[in-house]
Amino acid sequence: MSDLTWLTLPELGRLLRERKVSSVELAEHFLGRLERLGPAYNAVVTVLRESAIAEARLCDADLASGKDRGPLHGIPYGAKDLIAAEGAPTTWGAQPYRNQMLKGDASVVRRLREAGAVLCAKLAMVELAGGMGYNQAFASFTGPGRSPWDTARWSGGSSSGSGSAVGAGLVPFAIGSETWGSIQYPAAFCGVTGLRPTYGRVSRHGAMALSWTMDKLGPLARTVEDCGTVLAAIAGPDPADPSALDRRFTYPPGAKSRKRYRLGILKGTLEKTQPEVRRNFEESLRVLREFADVEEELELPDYPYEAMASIVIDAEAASAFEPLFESGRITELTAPEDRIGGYAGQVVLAKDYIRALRLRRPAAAALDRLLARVDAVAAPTLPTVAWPIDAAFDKVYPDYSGGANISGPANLCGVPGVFLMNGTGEGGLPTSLQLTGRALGEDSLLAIGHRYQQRTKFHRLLPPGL
Amino acid sequence: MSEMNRREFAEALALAALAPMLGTGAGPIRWPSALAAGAPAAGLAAPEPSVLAKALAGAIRAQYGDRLSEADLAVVTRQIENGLERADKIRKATLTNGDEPDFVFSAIRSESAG
Repeated sequence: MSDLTWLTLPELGRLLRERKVSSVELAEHFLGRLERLGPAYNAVVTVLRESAIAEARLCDADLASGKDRGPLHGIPYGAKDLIAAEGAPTTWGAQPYRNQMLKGDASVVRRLREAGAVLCAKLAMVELAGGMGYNQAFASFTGPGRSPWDTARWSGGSSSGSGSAVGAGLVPFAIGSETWGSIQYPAAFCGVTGLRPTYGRVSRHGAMALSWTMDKLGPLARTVEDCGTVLAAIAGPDPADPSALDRRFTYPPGAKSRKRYRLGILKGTLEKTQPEVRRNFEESLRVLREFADVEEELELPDYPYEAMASIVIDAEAASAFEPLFESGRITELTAPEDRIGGYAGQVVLAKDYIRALRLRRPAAAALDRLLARVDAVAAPTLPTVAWPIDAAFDKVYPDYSGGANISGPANLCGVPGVFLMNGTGEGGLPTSLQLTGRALGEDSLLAIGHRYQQRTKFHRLLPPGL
Repeated sequence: MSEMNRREFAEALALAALAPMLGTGAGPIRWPSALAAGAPAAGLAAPEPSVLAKALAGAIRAQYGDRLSEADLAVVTRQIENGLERADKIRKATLTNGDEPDFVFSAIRSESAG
């Protein structure tokens, strides 16, 4: 069997159904890579060899008896270690929770098991999903996440291991979470495809809460098509999560994809970006124009998005992690700034928190009016390539802080985004393109992203030495 | 890297205290406007925290003072001040009495509760 490492989900599924590989062989292959290569990227918290092989055996038996659970049947994956899986520790990336054993599976794990996916590893993450305000890569008891493209560069966070494990070919796909950029950064810095779903698309039940009103779970994978396939398996209503939307998601979509799409570009989106990021984005636009009309100079509605988001996250995190403050074990966190960064959230005034929630409704409505004009807003995912691993975040690339940014408003307002590699920049590191759409607009984003990947080969580029 | 040394950490904390978006969580998105808004001009000391920030920091001292040094409390006070400045920003937007927050709550009538 030729190397299985870099195959997409349809390619792996085809091999399984043609009996050219078994699910157990696939699990063995990726478990071996997780064990051998995971430490080089600080990507893994727990390898689940025993349970993964047992699950894979069941998948093989099912397939042999004619029971096919769909496109994820027999496919290995990893989950960010804030997602509960019965029988394995769920550490939240934080020393105080290093031995935490939670009862039951998170809904996303249960759904993936029902779809036949095989959980092979709990993946590393920034402690408490970055909720205490980390300012450096060394903010997890597993060490700084390292990019497969250069281990002296950060993998991004907080879904660090989910990005690097996919980027290094340790798993075909992974589940990450995003409250404020935590799928976006690892997707960009590790050169993989990421999908931040609409808030409520995917049940949060069994996942660590940082911000109940802003947390989203989503996939990181090799391709847009893979991300859509995973989203279809994990999306849908869940009585255990009152915010889960009563909507199913199918992929590929039933409706035929359109001939032409409409894209928007924010005014000033390329300001203060690295030259290679700018060049690659402009080249991406050239490709996108083959099947999309582009409306330039869009402007974000004028709201204090970052102030609102900050108040919401600070207040909700202060409540979510109150036991950690009360116990004093906050002092055990890895990054020194995380040990004191959450105290200010303890005294956010109730009226300010509620005002931020009230203001989010008109802000989200205004953002929706803008997004309704187009199928997606395109932008560089980030203004630079992956950051040096030993740099404080507020000092890195000071000349390239980025231009008009839709990521913050999108996260605050819960709208979806797709992140995909669109070239290489400084040091041969990946650059990335992001597409942001209306709430429940994943179909359009995935269709546009898929067409882009059909016309380009960046998603097939491998990190050096792998 | 192994870990920041004390000087680097102190610098990072000082910057964190000056930057409104640091001290909040998740991905490390850097908002240039926010960073700029919180940073004093080069060579100038950070402004004295407001009376309200100091009062709220007093609440932190009362609850957790046994584990926070004076330097820690100074950083926390600056972070509280930054939070209050963010609150001032959102207070500038107009809301009417009928603009409700988006809470996810519904009255519960359990089938098994009789």
